[in-house]
Order: sequence, then structure tokens, then C-alpha cells
Amino acid sequence: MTDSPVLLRIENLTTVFGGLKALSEVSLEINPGQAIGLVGPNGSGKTTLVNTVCGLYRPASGRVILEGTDITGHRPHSIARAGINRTFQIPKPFKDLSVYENVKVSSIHSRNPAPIEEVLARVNLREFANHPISELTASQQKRLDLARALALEPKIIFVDELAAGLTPGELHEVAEMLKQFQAFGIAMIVVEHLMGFLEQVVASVLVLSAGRTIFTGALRNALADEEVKRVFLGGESDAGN
Amino acid sequence: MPSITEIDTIQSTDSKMKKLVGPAIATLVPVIGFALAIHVYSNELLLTYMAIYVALAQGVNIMYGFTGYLPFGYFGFFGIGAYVSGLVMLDYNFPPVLAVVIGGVGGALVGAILLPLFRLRGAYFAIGTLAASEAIYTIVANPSLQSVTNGPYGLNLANYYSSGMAYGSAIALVAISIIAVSYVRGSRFGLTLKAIRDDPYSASMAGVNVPRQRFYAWLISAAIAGMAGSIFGWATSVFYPQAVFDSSLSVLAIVFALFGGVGSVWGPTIGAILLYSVYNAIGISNPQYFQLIYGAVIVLLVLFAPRGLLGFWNFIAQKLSSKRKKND
Repeated sequence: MTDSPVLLRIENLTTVFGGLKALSEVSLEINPGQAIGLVGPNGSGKTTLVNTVCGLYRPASGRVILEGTDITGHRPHSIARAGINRTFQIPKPFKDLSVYENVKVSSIHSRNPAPIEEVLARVNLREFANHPISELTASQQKRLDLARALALEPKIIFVDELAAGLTPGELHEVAEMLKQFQAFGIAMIVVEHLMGFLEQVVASVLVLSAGRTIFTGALRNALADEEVKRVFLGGESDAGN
Repeated sequence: MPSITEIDTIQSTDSKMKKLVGPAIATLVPVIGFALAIHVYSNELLLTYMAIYVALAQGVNIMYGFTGYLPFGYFGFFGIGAYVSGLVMLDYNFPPVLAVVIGGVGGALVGAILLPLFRLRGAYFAIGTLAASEAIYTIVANPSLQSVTNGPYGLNLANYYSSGMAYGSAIALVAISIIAVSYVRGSRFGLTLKAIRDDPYSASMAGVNVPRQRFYAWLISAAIAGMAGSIFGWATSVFYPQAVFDSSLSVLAIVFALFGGVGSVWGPTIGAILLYSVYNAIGISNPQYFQLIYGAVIVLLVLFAPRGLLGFWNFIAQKLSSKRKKND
């Protein structure tokens, strides 16, 4: 352990699939309670970065350091218990379990379980506790992913396209929810395409293109950056780079 | 709609009731049924085999019903159980009931050795277990191991034969397997296994040590098959390796479990008793049409009750309940 105030440090993370370098020497630092946007066109490596940090993929090189401890290549459940969690672009609830039971699974395996009632209230799913998953909307299922993560008392959550497909009212509700989590000291890396939504939640962003970092800094500066504009608007092909 | 505190209370009261009454009924009914059946139907060996299949179907239930892993090579544990118990009886003069328990331990140990198979998924896992069990059969039946396993000539347990004791042990195994399934179903362990079955990676991000939890289910399932094989060997008295390392044992146990409905306590029991009865009735009355009729039964099952009899029953009950709600 070190005295570093940095919560999570990603150092030169590289992930390779066969001959394809899906992620190339990506680095990132995040402090407790901070929120960073992770943006980039489809195929730019956003979800690969999340999957690599969360233990689904083993990196070819680079390190993931949580509170000074190297957790590179650890198994997903160890990473989750250590304090890193995530939601999924396509929600992944346990379909045969109720909403309550979904959160209970996390609670059972948490080192420091949060009360299930409180967790469900934090994502506005309290009244759906005994409902089957089939009765939840896609937006509610995404919030259930978030609830399962919260039950493990995470230090940082990767929020993968939580806003996709939401109505403007739901977007505002979700943004407020994420800000509350920040207030509780939970750091967040928000993977998102919707800039309007990101503006409500994060101040800085990391922009990926073809697995490489092309910009890090304030969100408003990213929107003015020439390379970012070219990647998003200029029709650059990620597959070819 | 109940509040969460109420749900907790309901669930805790509900689970307490289920933990006691539900498993007790699910265990006692078949146990008493088997105990009485011998007074109605005198073919004790057939009833012993039926009880063994109930236990095997429940073993498949723990593995497939709660983790989603289909163990086509389940017969490997069965065969190892038969051999381990037979050998400790013959070589060390162990009492048969203790030998049955040791057979279960043998099954579990082989389960632990085959743990790397969990690196495979879906059909690859099913085929992997099949290949592993065939490999075990080849080793056990190998003539060069005749001094240890008696090679291809099998084991002769005639000196230990006791049909009544074997039948009683088979009934006890039925009870053990149903209690095991009831425990798994009603426990946090069962909840975890269901989460793994739905999505292993998602479960691991919920903090679940997926390989370890699967391993526990695999061990319980393998131990049940090991004890079932031990009782089979003891009740059959003389057996050859191909009789206990027979892939059709796995197929039947899987079909029985699926027919009744996996993931439930009652399903595999009902499935095994009904289908094994049909299996024998057709085999005795119309042996020439046996494959045709049995195949047709399985096709009908897949077409009209893919979730088994209990799934079909739940579907009908749900329809009736929603119709009643509409009428109200």
C-alpha cells in the first residue's frame, strides 16, 4: 500500500484479441468521489477497458492499481469484493430471481454488505422488491445492475451506457442519482454517448479511438478538440486503425 | 403491495416453513411410497433400481437444475462408486453400508479431479465429462489392472448380497438426495447457484466466487452418483465394468430429471418414478416397440412440456389464476 490519494490508477493497459490490439496503453487516474466520462465511437475500446479492469479480460500488459494494491489479472469476484464494480450496456439481471433476490446475491457475498432495503431505495426500485425481472423496464433493469453493484459497497463503479434509451425525464432522474453516489464518495467512470447527459454528471473525460487515448481533460475542452471532432464527426473508421 | 420489511418477514417465515415442512413432505412421500411398494410389487431389484434413478435424477438436478451444466458423463461417478465400494468390501471386508458411503467419497474425489472440465461450457462441458468418464471406464476395465480392479471381468459381491439391506439403503439415498436438493434450493447457496446459472460473469461481479460455488454443487452431485453406483453394484451383486460405466445411465437420469422439471424438489422424483415405470412397462409388454414409444414420449416432452411436468403444471396454474383474476 502507498499513501497515494488516488483511488484507482490504470497504467498503460493493453488488451489484445488474437492479432487485434483492442486497447493500447490506456492510462487513467481517478480519486474517491470523482466522476470521469469515458467516450468514443463504437468499437473504440470503452467496454474493453471496463471488461479488462473488472477482470473479464486479462491484459497483455499494464497494471490496475486500487488504493495502492496491484489487482491486475485478479478474478472478477475478487475485484468486485475489493471495491470495483460495474453495470452492463445490455442489463444482465438474474432472470429467475426477484428484484430483492438479485440484490441479495451481492449482499450474501459482500465483505461489508449494505442493507438491501437501502440499496433498492437508492436506485428507486424499492417498490419493485418482490417483482419478477420480467416486469421491469430496460431502464429499471439497468438500475438493478447498479443496485447489485451498490450492495457490495463499491469504491468505484463503471457505469456502462446507463442513459441509452431513456426519456428526458428518466435521464434527469438517473443523473441526479449518480450525483448522489458521488456525494457518498463513490467514484464513477461513466461510459456514455450522450454528451448532454455527461455534462450533468462529469467534469472531465477520457476519449478513446481505436483503443488509444486521444484526449483527456475537461469535457468542454474535448468538445472543442480537433481530433475528437474528427473522430466523432469525420467518419474515421475504428476498425481500420 | 408488501413493504421490504414485510417481504423479509414473509420470506423468512416462508423459508422457515419451506425448510421444514416442504422438504419433509417431499422426502417422506417417496420414502414411504418405496417402503410400501415392496408389499404391492414384489420385484425388489426393480424397485431398488427405481430408487437409484430417483437419486441420480436428483443428483443431475443439483448440477444441471441449479448451475446449468449438463453432466453427460455423470455415469463416471456412478461407476467409480460401484468399484470403490465393491473393492473395499472385497479387499478390506468393509460392511456394505459403510462401503456405500466410501463409494460416495470416491465419486466426490473423482469429481474433484475432473474440476478442470469447468473451463468448458455448454455442449463442450457435456462432451468433456462424457469423454472423461469413458477414459475412467477404459482405465478400470483395462486387463493390465486386473490385479486391482479385476479388469474386464468385473466384481463379484455375491458374498455380501442382501437385497433387503440394499433396498433400504437405496431408499435412504432417495431421502439424502431429496434433502440435499431441498437444502440447495432453500439456501443462500442455492440462490447463488441460480445466479450463476443465469449469468456466470454477472454473478462474479456480484462477488460470487463462481468456480468454488460450482465445485461444491459438483461434489454433492458426484457423491450422490457415487453412492447410487455403490448400491447398484451391491444390489446387482455381480457386475461388469460396462454395466456401471454405461452412458445410458446418464441419459436416463437426465431425461428423468428434465421430464419432471429441473430446479424443483419434486420434479426429478416424479419424473424418475413415472418414466422408469413406463420404461419397464414398455420393455416388458412391447419390447419390439420399446425404442419407438420411449422416443415418442421424449419428443412429446420436448414439444409440449420443455420445462418438465412441474413447469407444465405451473403454466396451467398461472393461466387459471390469471383467468380467475380477470373474472373477479
